Amino acid sequence: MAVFATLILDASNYVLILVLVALGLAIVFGLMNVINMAHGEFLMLGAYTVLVVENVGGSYWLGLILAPVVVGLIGLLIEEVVISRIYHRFLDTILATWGISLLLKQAIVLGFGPASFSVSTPLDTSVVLFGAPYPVLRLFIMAVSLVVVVFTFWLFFKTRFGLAARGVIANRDMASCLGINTRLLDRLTFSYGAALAGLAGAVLAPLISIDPQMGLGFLVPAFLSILVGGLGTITGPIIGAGLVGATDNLTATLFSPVWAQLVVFVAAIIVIRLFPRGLVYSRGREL
Amino acid sequence: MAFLEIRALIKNFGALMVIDNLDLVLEPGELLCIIGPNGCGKTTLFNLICGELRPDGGDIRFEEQDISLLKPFAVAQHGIVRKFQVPAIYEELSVSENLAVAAKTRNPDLSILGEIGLLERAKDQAGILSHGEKQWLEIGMVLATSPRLVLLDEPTAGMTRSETARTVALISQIHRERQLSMIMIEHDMRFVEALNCDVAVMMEGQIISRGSYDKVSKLDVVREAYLGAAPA
Repeated sequence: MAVFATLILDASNYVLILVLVALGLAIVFGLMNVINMAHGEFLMLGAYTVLVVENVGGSYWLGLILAPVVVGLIGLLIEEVVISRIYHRFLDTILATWGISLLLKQAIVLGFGPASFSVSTPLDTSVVLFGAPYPVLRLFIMAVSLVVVVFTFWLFFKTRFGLAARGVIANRDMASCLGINTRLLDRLTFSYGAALAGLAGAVLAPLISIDPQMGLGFLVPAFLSILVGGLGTITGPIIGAGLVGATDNLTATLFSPVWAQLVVFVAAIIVIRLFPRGLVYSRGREL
Repeated sequence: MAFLEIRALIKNFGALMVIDNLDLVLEPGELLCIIGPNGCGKTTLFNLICGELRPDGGDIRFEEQDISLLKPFAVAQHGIVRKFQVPAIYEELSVSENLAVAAKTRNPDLSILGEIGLLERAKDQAGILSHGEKQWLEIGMVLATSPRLVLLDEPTAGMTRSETARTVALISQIHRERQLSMIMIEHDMRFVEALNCDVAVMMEGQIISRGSYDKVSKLDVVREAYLGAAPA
């Protein structure tokens, strides 16, 4: 029972982190039709923000608060300088964001070197859950992810911002003619997507090695989550992250990480073959 | 002070001058129909007023403020709101949600749905409405923005005769009750006649005549283009 509980809690932990990463990607794609190849590097920047804060004497908690702010602002700058000029050129946005991804990685290598770093582990205690001790930090990460998911739903379905964003997603020209500032929404949404990735990097920082390549390990499963769940919705990537994350984590734990990769990709191919538009395709009903 | 004043407006697409020194004045509460053959620049004129296109010359003043270089959302925030020729509604949202997006509030004034005859369909998905109902919904969405000047691009395009008749009544009622300034592009001369408003005739990027339906319908160019009569 205890082993089974730990297995489920670990899988839930990974799924919720994946949701955090996939949500940012999905929102940016839903609103702006931009596949952000630099999303993994936004996650990396979040983790490095925590590292820098700790190196200058700040606490992990300060780093956790600053990471989404810093990465959100970097996202805002990138949107203004690069993305805003190529919105209507889908393939160019992929190339441009890939270029930004390389640029950010190399900037980190120049600034910090290629080596791995680690940060302090906050909440370094355990609680007994279902007969097995479980790290409080992991429970905290799960709680943060859940709060962000609920906040994102509230933002998009219960606020004027969300109403306007959904209007822009469904018909950009009409929204503009109704007085909705689509440019401002683009800036805010890209920045919010980047901030989510930054937050994911910050919550992950105590659990994994911080290095310039860390983003890629989350970008690929996040993309798979969106493809499996469905583009153009908020619930799609969440369901996709649930399936991809749980399959990946459980297979890796029960067999091996190599088998996990194989199973996840084969399962994703089957789902995409059967549901080409994802499990929760809704033609812009939600996002 | 004119409500809307367009002076010496010019728009070129390459070597083609689509709007050629066009002048147009609209007074508060005025209802104006613009007619003219395809390609004469009617929709381009709307695109220029709405900020979708930037003029190459001249200016567009709304209540004495130059709006010719404003972006579409900023023009809309001044109260100039446009209805497109093909209904530009949110087909996946419900009828009332469409109104909510337009009003930018989660609790829009649903009495507008009564005005456009769609109150009982408030919860229906907009995509399942008939073509005419979609056109009326878009008019309702325009009203939900609390506009001061409404631009309607062929509001009866694709409608049946009965839907057209109902649209005449709807636009007349909106104009009468709200004292709203409106400019319409229309090809259906029965519709234009029924509205009994000022008519401007456009040709090759200019307004060549303006007056009552009776006056403009006597013009050779109008008779030839719309009324099936050979020029005298």
